[in-house]
Amino acid sequence: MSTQEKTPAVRIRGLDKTFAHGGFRARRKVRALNAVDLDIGRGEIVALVGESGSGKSTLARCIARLESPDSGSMEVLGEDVLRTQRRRATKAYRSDVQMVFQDPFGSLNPTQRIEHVLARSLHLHGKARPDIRAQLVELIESVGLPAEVLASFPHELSGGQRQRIAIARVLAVEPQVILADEPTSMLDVSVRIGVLNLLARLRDERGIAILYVTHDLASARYLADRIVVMNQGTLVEGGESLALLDAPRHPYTQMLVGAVPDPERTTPFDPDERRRYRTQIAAWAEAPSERVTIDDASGHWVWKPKEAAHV
Amino acid sequence: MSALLEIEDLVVEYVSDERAVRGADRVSVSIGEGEILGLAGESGCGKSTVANAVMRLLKEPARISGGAVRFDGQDVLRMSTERLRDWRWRETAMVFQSAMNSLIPVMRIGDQIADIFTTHEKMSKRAARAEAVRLMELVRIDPARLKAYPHQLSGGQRQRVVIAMACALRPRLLILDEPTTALDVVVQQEILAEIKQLQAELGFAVLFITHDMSLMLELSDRIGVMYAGRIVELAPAAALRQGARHAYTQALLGAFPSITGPRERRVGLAEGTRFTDIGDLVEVAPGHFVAPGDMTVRTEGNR
Repeated sequence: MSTQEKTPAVRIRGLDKTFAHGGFRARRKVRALNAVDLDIGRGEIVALVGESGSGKSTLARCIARLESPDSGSMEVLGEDVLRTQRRRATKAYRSDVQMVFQDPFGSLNPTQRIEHVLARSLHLHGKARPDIRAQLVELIESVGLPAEVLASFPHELSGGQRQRIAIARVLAVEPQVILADEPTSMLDVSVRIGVLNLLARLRDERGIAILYVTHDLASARYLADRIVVMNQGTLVEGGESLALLDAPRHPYTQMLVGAVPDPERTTPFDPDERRRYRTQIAAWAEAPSERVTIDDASGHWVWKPKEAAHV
Repeated sequence: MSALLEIEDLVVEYVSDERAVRGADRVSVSIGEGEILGLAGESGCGKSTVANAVMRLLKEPARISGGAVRFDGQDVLRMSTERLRDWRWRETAMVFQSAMNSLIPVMRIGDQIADIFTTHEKMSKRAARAEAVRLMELVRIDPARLKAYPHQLSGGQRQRVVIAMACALRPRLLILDEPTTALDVVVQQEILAEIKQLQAELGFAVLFITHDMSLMLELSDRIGVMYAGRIVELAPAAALRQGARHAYTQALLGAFPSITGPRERRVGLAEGTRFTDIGDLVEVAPGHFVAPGDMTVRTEGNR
């Protein structure tokens, strides 16, 4: 038990993934993940941020075993899963690691009542108790919804309620790792914060490890213990949320932070500065780089060119 | 100062056999020449309904059942079809939600832009092409891309093209309905800066619709917050930033974590919160209006 507590929930080393696309003759390869190293501690929320197409969803899908990486290792709850479950994930893995998707409208069967949706997950994963009714009530209340919702169909619920149902379904299988891919981006703003608070509570009360995938830096700062930043498949910077965002070192992180809407900002947007950032980001991506620790206490590190004497 | 656009007691109903639902309910707001007015609120609050009513684009089962819309003193709701066709695009243009998908996929960008000038201005093809080049330069896209098909441009570029097309005939009012919702923060910022710059150059007024309060505060001069078809608060952006008066506005603002400052727990709107009996706007400070009403939180039942 003690060794289990010390190992992180997820430990990824050197993960690579390449997609081929384009026509039959002009086939091009895109590196979606490039030598990714990432730990997610038990009871820790790590935010994975980046622009669309940066590879962040691919990483989450690799951990969920919805994609197979080309190479690298992935230990989940101490088990080297790419070795032991080579072809496909076992059912036990699927109960340990669960994914919450962006679209709460598409992820629930419209013809089934909520109680049926949840009971099915409980039965499938062998988690159903004899008093299943009480179990369902517990489950629905744990995501902040009243028991009456159990009798509803998905279309009778709001987006925020549906996303809570999706999370309840995930909780039904008692996962230790939750991968949440933009879980609030399709929700109305006033209920978004409620879903974020719910994720924080799952971490605090159940010690669930959560990978929160988002392009919204402000919400990442609000929710996550740590943030890692991905640009074109490479993790370029990471560290404790506040330390990282207060003093970002990588030009890509600096550009992302500068792009967050901020009514308090007094300097107008400068397209020339944006171009300089883009040039610098491209130069950094080309150069042979190394991972440099900025600050031990906050675990702040940056992936930067070896030659550069200063960041 | 007379307003460019005046909306007065506008009522839009969505009518079915059993009942009529008010999508916009006695909405009154005006936009001055060159002013940026934001309409904020969540899905279903009626902000797009107001925009579509102004453009006379509502279709069955929606119908305007009361109120007036005046553009530079002219009654928009009584314009003839011909007058309307001329007024749209030339005097008021609209960029729709996910407009970047509204380009015709099988037609080159340049031909689509040139179309505006040949159709509305009866220009020659050659002159229309020259105008297309000018427009592309206006939104800083290489005019060589005029030969491209929509799928060959990025989402941000497509959105820029659509905005450029809306500005083509130098309208006095531009309606932007969630112009950056489908885009990344980085591209979103570039496009908003572009809109601001175009506005400074061309001097049009903007009706800007979004659910994102931080964007709205950054771009707008004045902001109206809508809930259940009604405007619950209307104030200069600076006044809302300093102190929103309506509980719903406060909840919207409170729902956005900040990128700076201390990290403190936030609460949005509690599940089941409802505002009812929303009255007419009352001026609580110069230029700052709030609608009185009741707030209830239902804890049981959800339908």
